Amino acid sequence: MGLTSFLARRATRAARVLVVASPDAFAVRVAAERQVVARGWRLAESPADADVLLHVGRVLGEMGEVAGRLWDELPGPRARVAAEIVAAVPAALDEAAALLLDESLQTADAAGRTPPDVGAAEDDKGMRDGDMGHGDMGDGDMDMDMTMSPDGIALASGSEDDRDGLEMDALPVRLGPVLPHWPAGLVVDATLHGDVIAEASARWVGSGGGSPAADDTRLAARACDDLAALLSLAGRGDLANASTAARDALVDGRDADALRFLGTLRRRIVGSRLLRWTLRRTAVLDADRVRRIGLPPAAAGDCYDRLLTLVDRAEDQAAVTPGAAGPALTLDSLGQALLGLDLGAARLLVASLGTPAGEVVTVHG
Amino acid sequence: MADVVAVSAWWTPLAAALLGVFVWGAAAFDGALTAGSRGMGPGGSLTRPLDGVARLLRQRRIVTLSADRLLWRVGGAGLLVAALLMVAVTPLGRWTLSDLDVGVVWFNAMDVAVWAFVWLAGWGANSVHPLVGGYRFLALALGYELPLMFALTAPPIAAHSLNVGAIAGAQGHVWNIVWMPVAFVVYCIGVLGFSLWGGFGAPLASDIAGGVRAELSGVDRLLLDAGRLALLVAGAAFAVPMFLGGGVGPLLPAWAWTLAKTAVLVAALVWAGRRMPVLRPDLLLEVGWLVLLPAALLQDLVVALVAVWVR
Repeated sequence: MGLTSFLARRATRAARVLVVASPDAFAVRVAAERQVVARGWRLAESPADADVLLHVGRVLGEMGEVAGRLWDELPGPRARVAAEIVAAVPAALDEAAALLLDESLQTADAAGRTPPDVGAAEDDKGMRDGDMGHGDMGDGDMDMDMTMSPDGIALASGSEDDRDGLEMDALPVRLGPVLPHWPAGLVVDATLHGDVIAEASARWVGSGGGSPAADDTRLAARACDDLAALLSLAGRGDLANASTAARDALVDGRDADALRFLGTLRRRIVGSRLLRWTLRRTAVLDADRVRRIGLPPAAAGDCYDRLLTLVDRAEDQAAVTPGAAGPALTLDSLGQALLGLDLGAARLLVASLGTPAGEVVTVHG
Repeated sequence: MADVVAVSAWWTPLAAALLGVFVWGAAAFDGALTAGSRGMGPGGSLTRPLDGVARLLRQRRIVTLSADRLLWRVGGAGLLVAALLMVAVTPLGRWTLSDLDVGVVWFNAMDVAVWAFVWLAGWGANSVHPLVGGYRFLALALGYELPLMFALTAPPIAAHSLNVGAIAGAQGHVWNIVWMPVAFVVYCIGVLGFSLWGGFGAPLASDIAGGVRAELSGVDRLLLDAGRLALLVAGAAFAVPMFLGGGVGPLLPAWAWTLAKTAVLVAALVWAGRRMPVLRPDLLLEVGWLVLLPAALLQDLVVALVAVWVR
């Protein structure tokens, strides 16, 4: 008993939180992320990595279903809590800590979990204690009319226009709506050949049809958040943390601090030759293509150009209150821009464009 | 010159414990640097890795649908095993667990085994993100492995031996790093590569939800995370006899110098890794084959010429 509760107390100090955020709840998400870090906790990268599932804002409809599936994939001990408004965040996380420490509750939760719904039942004497889908971030309705589907999972199919002519090399994959450093609520349904995106269509889930701009938190803070996402994906967590610090200063109304942070951050970004080298020539969109698929002119160039644009945008908007919104970006053009990129470059591209807004349009490559 | 004694296999648990202490230290140092970049003090950095271990020990392991469990677990646990087997041929001052005549080749074989382990860990989960992580690692490995092999070749050429103790003993007062700086740098890049650290973290990156470890939880994740840091430590420890003069140093005994040099190199690698952006495989291949490989070969040529001239 002593050892178990000791272990539980230590474990709970290092808890990891998977945030399921509604797209219009920017302010609550920021508050949640700050609270998580302040407690010495961390944000989880995937459900298998998480102890706490935190609903941020009003998680409804399809987003709610996704949250349910993710909850099934948390290994346990696990806790599910919600914060609809900023003020509710500390209490929600306190509750999560209490739930994680509640031994009897966790034992009951573990006992009540059912093995996964396997098509070709494969009995393992109850050793399966998780319910994981194929693919971890909420795989949707895959095409099930395949001739072979081991355990109910359809095999990848072939494709006429596969660049290397491989069979079984067209895999439907859904990116989002819950993915680290990804616009909350954005879903891209993609077909992968290997790890290259051959088809893509983007849409929003979870926000009653509205765009993320429905939230009136300062645009400058959003721009810093976008910048932090891009820097994280580029592998520079330390620079991302500096951008997050600027974001938090803006949320608190400490504009002078934020501008100072951004000035330092700009110098560090420009000073890093390695960062420039890895982002140059990545996900290049030439001016012609940008015009043709309907992206804003500022999107032209490579990921490094767009990184500098994001820094400019963050600085401009922090200096002028309230600043102008980032250029509108339609989901149609986003889907088109992703075609032909590998997953890594695609993630960098989405982040480098900033938080998009728009309506659902499907594109086939 | 080989003044290294092979000790009884009963000392293996001590070597493993020492490796564990270094892994803990590396994790704590990394945590302190992270706290620093968030504007927080380093307080609690020493205990935070232990909290993380407690969390993973308490967490249940999950299994994905139709996972290839055997291969998945072999892959996840393999990194730690490979690191231990690397340490087995690395002398601590005058003592070594195994005084193999071909110690350098053994080390190289272990770092190649990492290819299989990371790929299996990515493959076994039957899930798209780990699989993409596995692809990425194989592509990165193509970029760093050949330069690493040729960098490992330089010290044996100079010492006329593949025995690690003999290589350490052959250095005398001029450490290999002094006249093989290129090989040392390429070697360190290789160590970052096989421990998936810093810029070589693309297979575990957050853009694919953690990649190879996206579906790992509980003890499976603990083994993979610990194995990765253990590889970093083992790589740094092996650099001491290869490039940093082994246990040579004033005042302190040889074993203490070996540990001190290892600690400095581990800290440097942890720090350097954090300053690197993620290298996408296509970029690394370009640099690996067009810059690092020719540079390592030239270094070998210089070392070979000197070795022939001198003796």
